[in-house]
Amino acid sequence: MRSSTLNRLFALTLVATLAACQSTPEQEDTAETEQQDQQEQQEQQDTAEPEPTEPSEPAEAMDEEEEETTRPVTADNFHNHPSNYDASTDTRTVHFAFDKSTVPSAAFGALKAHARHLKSNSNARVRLAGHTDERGTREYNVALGERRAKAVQKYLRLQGVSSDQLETVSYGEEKPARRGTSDMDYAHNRRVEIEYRAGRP
Amino acid sequence: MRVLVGILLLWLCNVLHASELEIQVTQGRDDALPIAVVPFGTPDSDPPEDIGAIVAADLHRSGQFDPLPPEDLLSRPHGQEDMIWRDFRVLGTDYVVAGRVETTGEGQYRVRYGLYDVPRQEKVLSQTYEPSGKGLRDVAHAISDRIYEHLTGVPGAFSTRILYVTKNIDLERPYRLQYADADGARVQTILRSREPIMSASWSPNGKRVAYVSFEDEGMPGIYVHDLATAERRRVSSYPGINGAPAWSPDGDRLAITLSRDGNPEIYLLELGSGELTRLTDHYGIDTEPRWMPDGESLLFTSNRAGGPQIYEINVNTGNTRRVTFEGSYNARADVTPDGRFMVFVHRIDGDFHVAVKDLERGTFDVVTSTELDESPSVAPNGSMIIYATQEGGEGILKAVSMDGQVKVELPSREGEVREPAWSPFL
Amino acid sequence: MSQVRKPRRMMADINVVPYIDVMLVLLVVFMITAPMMTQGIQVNLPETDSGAVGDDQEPVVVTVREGGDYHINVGEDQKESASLETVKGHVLRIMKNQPGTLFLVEGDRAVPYGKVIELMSSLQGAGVEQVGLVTEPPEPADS
Repeated sequence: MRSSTLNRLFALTLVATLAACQSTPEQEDTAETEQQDQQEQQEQQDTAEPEPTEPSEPAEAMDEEEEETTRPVTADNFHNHPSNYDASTDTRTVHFAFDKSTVPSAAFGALKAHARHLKSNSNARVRLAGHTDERGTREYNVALGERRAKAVQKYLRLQGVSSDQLETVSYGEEKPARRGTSDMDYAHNRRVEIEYRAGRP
Repeated sequence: MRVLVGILLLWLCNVLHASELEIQVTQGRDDALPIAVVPFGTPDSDPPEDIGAIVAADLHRSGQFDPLPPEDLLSRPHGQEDMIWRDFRVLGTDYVVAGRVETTGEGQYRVRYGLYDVPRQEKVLSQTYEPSGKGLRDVAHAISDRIYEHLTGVPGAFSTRILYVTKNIDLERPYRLQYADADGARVQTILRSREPIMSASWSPNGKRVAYVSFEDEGMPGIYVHDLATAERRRVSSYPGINGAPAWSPDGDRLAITLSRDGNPEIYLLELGSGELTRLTDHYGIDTEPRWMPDGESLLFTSNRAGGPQIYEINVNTGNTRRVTFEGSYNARADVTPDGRFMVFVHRIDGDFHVAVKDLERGTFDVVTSTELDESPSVAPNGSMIIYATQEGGEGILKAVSMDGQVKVELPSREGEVREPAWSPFL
Repeated sequence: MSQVRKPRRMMADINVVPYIDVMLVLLVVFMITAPMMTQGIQVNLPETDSGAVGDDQEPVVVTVREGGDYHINVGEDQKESASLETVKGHVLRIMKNQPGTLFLVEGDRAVPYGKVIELMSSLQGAGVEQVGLVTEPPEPADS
C-alpha cells in the first residue's frame, strides 16, 4: 500500500516536471516564430523599398540615346567627346580612356591639323608628353604614359610627319592636370600633351 | 601583525574610460607590452633632446609596446637605487626604462639608462653613452633599438632613415627629395627641382641614393647621389624611359628600366664601368625591378599576361617565372631582408592596397584598408612596411606591420609626401 | 506470492512498480542530500583569510592616521602624509591603468567616522569599484 501511494506521488511529480519542461519550450517556440515573422515582414519591406527608385533609370537610358554632339560629358566619354577637340592646332591635349592607349577618333581632326603644320614647318619640333591618372604604381604608369605618347606619335608619323620633329616623354602620374580624385578628374589627367619646342603655330 | 581583512563595502561605479587621443599609432597590437619610460633625470643641465620621450615614442610607434604616459607615473626613478617596484606593479607595467643625462663638458653629455624587469625586480639591460648634443637623438634611437631587440628578439630599426619625395605646388621648385629619421625628425633635403623626382632607392650601405629626375628640360635621367658629399652624377639618360633604379645587394650594379629599344625593359647597369646588359625581352611592359637579397634574381612588374603581375627573373640564366596570380593587378614588389615575404601593390574592386605574400608557403594577405596605397617599402628588420597613400586628397605616409595588426600614421608635413624608401641598417 | 495467472501465455508487460519504488527512493535521497550539499559549502570561513586579494593583483592601502593624515603606500614620500588630492591623483592613475585594483582603507580606531567616509567617497569618485576596510582582530580578553 505504501508503495502505491508513493507511486502516485512519483507519477504526479513526473507529470508535473514533464509539464514544466514542455511549457517553457512551447513559449520560447512561439516567441521565436513571432520574431521570425517580424523579420520576414521586415525583409519583405526591405525588398519592397527599392522599387520606387526604379523608374528613374529609363530616363538615364534616354539621355544616352541622344545625339553624340549634344550628349553630356561624362568621365566615360570624356576622352572622345567632341567638345574637347577642334580641328585646329589650338587643341594641345589628347585624352584617353581608362587603361587604354588608343587615340580617340574625336582627336583625329586636331592631330591632322598638327601634322599639316609640322610638315609645312620643318623647323617645328613637338614633344608628346604622356600622362596617366594617379591610380596604379608610379613606374608602371610611366610605362603606360609612354604608350599613350607613342600612340599619338605613331598617328602623326602616319600623317607623314618626320620622326626628327617628334619626341616622346612620359611623366606617368607625376604631373596631373587636376588634383582631385573623382572619375572626371582622372579623365582629365589621362592625356598626351602636345608641346611645341620650336615653330609654335 | 595579523591583519583581518573583510570586504564590508562593495559598490559599482562606471569604469573610467581612458580614451586618449592617439595621433600616431592608429592601431596597435592587442597584446602590446606595457612599459614605463620614466623621463630621464637631468640633474645639472637642460639637454637639447628629451631622451625618454624619444625612446617612448619609438617604442610606441612600433606598435609592440604600450608605453605608460609620464603623467600616470606614481614615482620617477632614475636608477635601481630609487626604484619603488610596487609603483609599477600596481600599474600593471612589466618593464621600466629609467636613466640620467649628465653634462660632462661644453655640449658633452653622459647618458646612462637601464631596462628593469618589474616582476623579477632586476635590471636586465644597461649602457652608458657619451654623445655630443647633436648625438643625443642617435643615442635615444640606439637605446630604443637595444630595448626592442631585448624584448622582441628582433633588431630595432629606429636608427634608420626614410627617403621620400615631396611636392608642394606653392613653391617655385615644387619637387623635393628628402630623407629623415625613421621618426620623421631631422629632415634633410637632397634635391629641389621644378620637374618631377621619383623612384628614389638606397644603396645597400645607406651612403648613396639613386633616383629619377626630369630636371634636364623635362626629360628623365637616373642619378646617383652621395649623401655625405652631395656629389651626384647622371648614370643613364637614354631616349625614352629612364626609370626605377634598384641597387644590387653588393652595391655594384643598378637594375633600371629603359625603353630605348622600343618598349620598357629591365637592364643591368654596372656602376663602375657603365656597362649595360639587357635582362628582359618582351613586347609588353617590364619595369619596377627589385633585387632578391641573394642578388641572384630580380622581382619585376610585367603586363605580358595582360594586366600587371609580378615575375622573378634569374639575372644569370634569364629564367623567368610568374610569382603573383591573385587578382588582376599586382605591381611594384619589395622584399623582406630574409627574402621570405614579398610586399606589393594589389588592386581589389578598383582600390589599391598593400599586400604581403609569403614566398615560402604561398599565402597572401592584404594588410592595408586605405585606398590608393602605393610604394610599399620594408624596414630593414622586416617588421614594418612604410607606404604612401592619400587622405583628403593629400599624399601622406603610413606604416603597417607585416601582419597588418599595427597601423601607424607618420607625421604629415606641408605638401604631398610620396614614394617612401626605408633605409638599410646604417 | 501466489498470483492468479492466465495459463495460456507468458506475461509480456514489465512490472514497473519495483522500478518506480527504487526511483522514488533515489529521488528522496537526492532531495535530502541536495540541500545538504549546498549547506556543506557554507563553511564559516576564517575571517583572517584575505581570499579576495589575488597573487597577481596587489592591493593598494590608504591609511588614515589618528590625527586624520592620509598615507598611500605607492609613490615617493610614502612615509610623509599626503593630501587627499595627492591620494586621489595616485588612485586615478592606478585606476586608469589597472581598473580592477583593490583598494584597502586602513583607518585608525580614533579617526572620526567622517574622515573615512570622505576618503571612501573620493575613492568612489575616482571610479574605484572595490574597497576593503582593514580592521585589527579584537584583542584577547585577558590582556
